[in-house]
Amino acid sequence: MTALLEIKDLHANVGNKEILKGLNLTIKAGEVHAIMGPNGCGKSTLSAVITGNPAYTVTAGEILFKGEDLLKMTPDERANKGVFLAFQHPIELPGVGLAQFLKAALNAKRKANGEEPIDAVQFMKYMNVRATALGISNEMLKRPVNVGFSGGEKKRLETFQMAMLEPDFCILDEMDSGLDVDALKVVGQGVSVMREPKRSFMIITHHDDLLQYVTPDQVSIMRDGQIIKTGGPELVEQVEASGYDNF
Amino acid sequence: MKKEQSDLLNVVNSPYKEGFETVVETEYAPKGLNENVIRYISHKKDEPEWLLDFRLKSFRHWQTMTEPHWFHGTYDPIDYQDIYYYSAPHKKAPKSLDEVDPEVLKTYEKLGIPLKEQKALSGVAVDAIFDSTSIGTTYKEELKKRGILFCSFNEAVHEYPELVKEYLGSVVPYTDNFFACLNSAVFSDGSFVYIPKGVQCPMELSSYFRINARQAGQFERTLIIADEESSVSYLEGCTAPQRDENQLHAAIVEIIVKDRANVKYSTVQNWYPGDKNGKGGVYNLVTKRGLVMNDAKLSWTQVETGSAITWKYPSCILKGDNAMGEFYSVALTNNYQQADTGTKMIHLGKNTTSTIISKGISAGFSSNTYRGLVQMGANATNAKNVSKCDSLLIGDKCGAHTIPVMKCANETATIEHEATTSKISEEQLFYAMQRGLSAEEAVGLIVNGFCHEIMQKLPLEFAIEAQKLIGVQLEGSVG
Amino acid sequence: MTTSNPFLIHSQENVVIKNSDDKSWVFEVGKDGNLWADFLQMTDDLKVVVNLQDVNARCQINCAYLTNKNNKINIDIKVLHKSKNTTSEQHIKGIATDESRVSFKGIIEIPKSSQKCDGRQHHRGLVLSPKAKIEATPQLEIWADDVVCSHGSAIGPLDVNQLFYLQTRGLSESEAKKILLSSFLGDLMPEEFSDTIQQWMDENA
Repeated sequence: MTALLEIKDLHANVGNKEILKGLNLTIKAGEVHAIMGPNGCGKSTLSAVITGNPAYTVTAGEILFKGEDLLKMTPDERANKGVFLAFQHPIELPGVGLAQFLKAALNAKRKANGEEPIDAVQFMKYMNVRATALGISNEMLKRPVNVGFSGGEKKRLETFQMAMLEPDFCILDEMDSGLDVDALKVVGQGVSVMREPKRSFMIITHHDDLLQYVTPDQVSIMRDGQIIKTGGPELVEQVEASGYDNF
Repeated sequence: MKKEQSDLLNVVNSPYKEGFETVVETEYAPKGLNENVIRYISHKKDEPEWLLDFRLKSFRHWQTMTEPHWFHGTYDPIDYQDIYYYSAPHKKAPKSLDEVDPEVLKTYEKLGIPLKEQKALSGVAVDAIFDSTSIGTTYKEELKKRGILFCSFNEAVHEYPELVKEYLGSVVPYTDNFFACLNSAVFSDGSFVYIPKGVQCPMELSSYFRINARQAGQFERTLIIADEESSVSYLEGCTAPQRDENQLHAAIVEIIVKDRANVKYSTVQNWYPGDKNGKGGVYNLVTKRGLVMNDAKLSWTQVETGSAITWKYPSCILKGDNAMGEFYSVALTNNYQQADTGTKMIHLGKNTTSTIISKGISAGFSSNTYRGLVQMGANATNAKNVSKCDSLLIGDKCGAHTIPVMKCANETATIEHEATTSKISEEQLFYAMQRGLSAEEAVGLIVNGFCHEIMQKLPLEFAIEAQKLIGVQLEGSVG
Repeated sequence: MTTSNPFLIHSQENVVIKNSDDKSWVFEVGKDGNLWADFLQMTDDLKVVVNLQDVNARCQINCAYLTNKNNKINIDIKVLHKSKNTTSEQHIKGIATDESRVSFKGIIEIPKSSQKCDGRQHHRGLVLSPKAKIEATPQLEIWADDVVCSHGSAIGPLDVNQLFYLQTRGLSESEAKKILLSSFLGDLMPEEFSDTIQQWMDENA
């Protein structure tokens, strides 16, 4: 397996405060990689920096994605290269219908790949198959993006968007926080169905909740802005048994 | 020949004949405004005496008025003597689209405007325009079967003089305001609609008008009469950018909505806004008003994206009991555009209701003002108004202003107004870009979401075009 | 019946008051300053200008009007966010009865350089008699994009649903009205004005 994502000595700030302090991480193609760590260790900052959130500043280090320098790209260029972030707190877009939004996103990706825009009928077919699989109703597709949905529904919709855009690299940022068992199952199912040799997942989490439904290939433990240990699924049990203090 | 002679005779007999003979030979009146020019306009249109009197009365009153300056913004003074009031001499029409400004063509393409319409809109001298005449004819026959009258204002003056005479100036009197008074003196052409009692107009009165609108000139005059229990949906304007060498546009729209009738008037305004530095552009100074009788309803929907200056307050006089008025508006300004637009809801009858939803978007160096008046008269028992005005600012060099005036003189009436001003959040922008949209696409999408409530009110085909238009107009506004 | 138009300045940290008389006030709020002032208008006009001069300046202006007979009053409140990071809040509530007239004008102005401001204004007016009139012009003048600004204004009679609710609990219409009117101002005005307000309610409600 070749490396899909390589992060070397990454330092990043929010305002003047350094959050990532020399982080190194490699995720291979086809790998499901869990990032676990206590609150405030910089897990969400990592996902924000990979996707190019302008609120964060990278001060040193590099991120290579498929061998290309990700840090030079705008957020939409990264997205169209195949980087997808399922947000911990999905943002509301009042008045923007979900279906309309996804069509625009899908066409942006097709354009980036030099393909023709998808026509309306094809798009509906493509969308309905995925919506049915994840239990997304027609009514939900018509509603504005993330407006008026419960926490669980929002997470389900993030999973649905992931299924729609078929990215090569999916970051799930604390998808399991505040989710009930049913919603966890949907998210877990979404990941399992999409698991394939070319696609990698980075699952950022605090607990093992989601990891009960998706078994990771690799687990990295993060503390104070760095990855301090990487290993197999057995690390999840260690965390559950004795917390993060022993790492 | 005979007719011309009698016309000439009229002219000769008129008390203001000086300098007239030279005028009559030309295709256009000279620049400037005086009674001779007004007589010339009326004469050219072969108008009856009463209409000439109306024009002259208006002109004499106009001379006593001064241009209002409460507009929120500034613009170069208008020299009323430096304007052609009848058929300005045309610049040579382009022979094909190859001669049209490529920037304009690019915009047409982005909006998805069919080639034929592109030609018509850019003034290419081909049969595209004549094609539209046949479309118009088919429409007209279909409408005639139901007794609906739909024609140019000039045609109506000759075909249905009684109706025009009865209603002209009945909602917007010539004394109303400076620009309306000017229009009353010099109006060029426009549309006339009459829907008979109990008739529901079977189609949007639109396609026909869209292509013909460009011929109506800079002083449009529209008169719509919806008789009792009738209904009609009327569409004005065009999403395509409309260029016009005439800088001053002063139109009037008068609507009479009789008992239990229902009129929906939608506008998409995209006149030339001037260049990126604010040079040129149309001054759009419009008076639109409807008189709404018992149990009747008038709904205004507008999408304003063009013009250098927009000064426009589509209004409802809710005269009858249970009358309803609605105003739904999107006003988008970019570069150096200035829009001062809103509505007036005058509640006179009992149980009258009005709804106002206004969405203002300012970008670039533009200024965008919502100005509204809601007035509850002493007899407006149980009248109700709800207004909601939201402004969105894009960039830090533009302005958004909200000036609602509420007057309540009835102790049972209620007025509710809410307004907010905000910007597109960084989080929203990032979220959309994370899904692969460029910054520009993301802003277009979010702004369209912001306007969604209003876009929904437009007839479907137009809503789709208007959405694209918003995106196109915002280009270059994202840093 | 009182003719006074009481006011109370609760807080004036780093505030310069440049008023000419009780009807006309100009406040200048400096860095980290805080202005909190209450006004009760019954017969006189009121003009208030607040200049938020420097960062973290904030103000809260509360104003109530109670008008009767053929009194005509004008209330003009203008808050100018002259500096970035400034906050303002205005609450205006009032009742007009008999043949009185109230004209309320409120402006929040945020010039270009004043980013990250928060300006809010709420107005609610009750018209109690057929010949009383309330006019309101709440105005937003915003030239900066990174701001939060809102105003709300409502003019109307007492809420009929509330009236009905109280009547179903056994209160007469006039008792119900009295309760709603005396609770209308809520805790907008300070304890110090309560006698004045109560007296007005007794005479007019």
